[in-house]
Amino acid sequence: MFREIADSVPAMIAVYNIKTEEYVYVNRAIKKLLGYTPSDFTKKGLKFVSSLVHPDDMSRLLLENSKALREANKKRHSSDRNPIVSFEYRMKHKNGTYRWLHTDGSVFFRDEKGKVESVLNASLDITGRKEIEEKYKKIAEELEERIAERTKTLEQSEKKFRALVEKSWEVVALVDRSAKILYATPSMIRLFGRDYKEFLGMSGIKFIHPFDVPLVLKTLARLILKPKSSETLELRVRHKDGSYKWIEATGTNLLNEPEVGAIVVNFRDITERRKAAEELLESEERLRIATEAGQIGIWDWDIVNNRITWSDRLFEIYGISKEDFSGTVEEYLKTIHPQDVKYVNSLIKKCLEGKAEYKVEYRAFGKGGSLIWISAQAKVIFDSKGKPLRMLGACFDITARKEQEQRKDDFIALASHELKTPVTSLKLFTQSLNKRFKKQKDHELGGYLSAMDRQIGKLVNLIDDLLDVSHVRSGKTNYKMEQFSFSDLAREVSQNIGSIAKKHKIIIKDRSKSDVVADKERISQVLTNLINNAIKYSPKSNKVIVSFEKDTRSLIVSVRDFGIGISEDDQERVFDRFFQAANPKRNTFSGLGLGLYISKEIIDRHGGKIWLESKEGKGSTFYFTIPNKRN
Amino acid sequence: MKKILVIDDDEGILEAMRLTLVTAGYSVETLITDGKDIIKKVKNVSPDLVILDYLLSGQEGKNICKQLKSERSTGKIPILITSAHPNVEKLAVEAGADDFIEKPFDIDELLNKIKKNILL
Repeated sequence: MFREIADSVPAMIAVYNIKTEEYVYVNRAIKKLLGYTPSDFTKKGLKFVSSLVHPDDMSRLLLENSKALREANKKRHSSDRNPIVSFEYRMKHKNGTYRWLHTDGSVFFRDEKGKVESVLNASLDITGRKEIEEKYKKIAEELEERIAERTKTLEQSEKKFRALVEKSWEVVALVDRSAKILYATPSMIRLFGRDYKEFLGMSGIKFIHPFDVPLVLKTLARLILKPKSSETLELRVRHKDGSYKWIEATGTNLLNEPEVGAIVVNFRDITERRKAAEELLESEERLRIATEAGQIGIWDWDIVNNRITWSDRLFEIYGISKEDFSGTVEEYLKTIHPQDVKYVNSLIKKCLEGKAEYKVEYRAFGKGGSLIWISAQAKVIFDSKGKPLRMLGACFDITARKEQEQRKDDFIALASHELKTPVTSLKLFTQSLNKRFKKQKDHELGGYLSAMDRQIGKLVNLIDDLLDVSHVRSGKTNYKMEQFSFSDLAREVSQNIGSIAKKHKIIIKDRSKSDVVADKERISQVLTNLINNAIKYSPKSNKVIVSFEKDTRSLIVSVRDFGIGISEDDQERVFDRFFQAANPKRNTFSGLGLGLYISKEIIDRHGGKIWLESKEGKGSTFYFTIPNKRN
Repeated sequence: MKKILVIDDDEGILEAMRLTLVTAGYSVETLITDGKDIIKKVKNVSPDLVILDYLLSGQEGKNICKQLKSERSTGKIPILITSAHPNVEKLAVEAGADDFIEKPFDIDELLNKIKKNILL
């Protein structure tokens, strides 16, 4: 009956006698589970069965078995049939593979003393379950590993993020729906000059420029209405020192996010950018007005990418089609006359270093390669670190003006030249006649002829001035450098002038040796000019002081008068061409207004300097230097 | 009496020079010219000094100067070049002129230059 039942169950049933170490009974299920026949177990006994147990499971099996038996023997008279032990282990199938078995062991028979004599083991094949378990275990392990890895990465990135948030210029703040500050990163201090802790619990609105408050409130209201939405705006915030800084702020509504429960505001300082943009806007506006007003071509050089953008007018001026212009600075320099390109290029370099102002006139090639004159001005825009970003410029075709100037200069040269011929005759006639009258002792007529000669002298000076101006402009004047005593020259000049201007005394104060290397006639011209001016503009005074002194670098000459002086406004302009000091009674002072202009040109050509000090009503002192040079 | 030949394309200059030089005691010949046959005329006059304007219409004074200096019969005659243009001085010397005087000039300046250069 037992056997029948036992054979019909899918579990392997084995009865094992502990004392004899024999298998008393094994059901047929053994075939299915381990591929053996029941007699394989009953005949071969424990030794054989033990050899089938997986070596890794053996010790555990024995340990648990003996422990279970000890327990069971303690309850001597129990008739409990419940399993005293259950374990899972592997046994080798006849085909060589290991099968996982789940075995429940229970007391089958006790001896007369109540000790367990035999046990009944019921075993189920759990290989399938075990495999799945193994698989899951592996997956679980892998998952754990991955989680561990991910956790590590997360920790790292969180660290990074924290560092980023707390140390970066970017500020992160959490505010509630009333803009009260709940949290802010320490970088706040850079923008506001206050520690972030000072902000906690305060309304952010307090730090916003009054002009920007309405916009901020409006934006905030819009933001609150839409969870998860973001809004970005530029506004001004107040630094502790009272100054305002421009920031770009982005608010994100995370009020409904349980982890955040706030509006997250990111912002950063854009003051420099705003400033540059404002300047740009201003200059662009100015340029636009200027362009419309005066046919000016504008260009915009993106220095970082070396790209030049030309306005239409520039393409017209240079006669280049848009397709033919590559837009690099090199291409632009090609439009400039070879003799001027070096200068323009070096000026650009200086401007990019912030050392010069771009204001220049140069020759260039226009339509069909014709020579044109360009007047150009530009401004360099630097970033906050002083790196040049853009150069914005305006070009104006001044060819017509230059041609007119040239024609005028040509005319002046020609006219003064043509004037010289009759003056030469006039002078010769006058002086010859004077000689004759003197021989004949006719002093009256001789005196008139002397006066006539002086007037001719003035005429000659005017013509010389005109000729000088035109020569100066065309750079034709040749200089004859020679060594001479400035002291001697000064006395010569003052004698010549003194013979005509009797009222003023010309006082010469020489404080040192005065040998110079210069064009004697030109320097004489400058000194004559300055002394004549000093006399001309000091009608109520009676002296002019000429002094000079030599230092290691140059001879410094000064001509001082005690006359009407020159107003501050005029002081800058006295060296301009055709300038004459303004006087309430105009035309009081004669002359073409060329003297100082020519003097400046002469001194410039010598490498010297010319300047003045003056006080209205007190008089003026003109200075010039002649650099020391060896002959 | 020393003889001076003045060559210019401006009649006013020639008249003034005549008066000046005669007053100073020289014998004066003047030559108004469009640049032609100058060499021939200089040979005919055979002066002790030539005062030559640098820019004569038609022919540059420079070429006349060079030519006069290269001819055997005229090569020794001193030439004083005049011009209203100061930069001509260098060119005049290059052309073989003995001296240069810039217009307009004072009588004394002119007479000094003549004294310095005239054939004795």
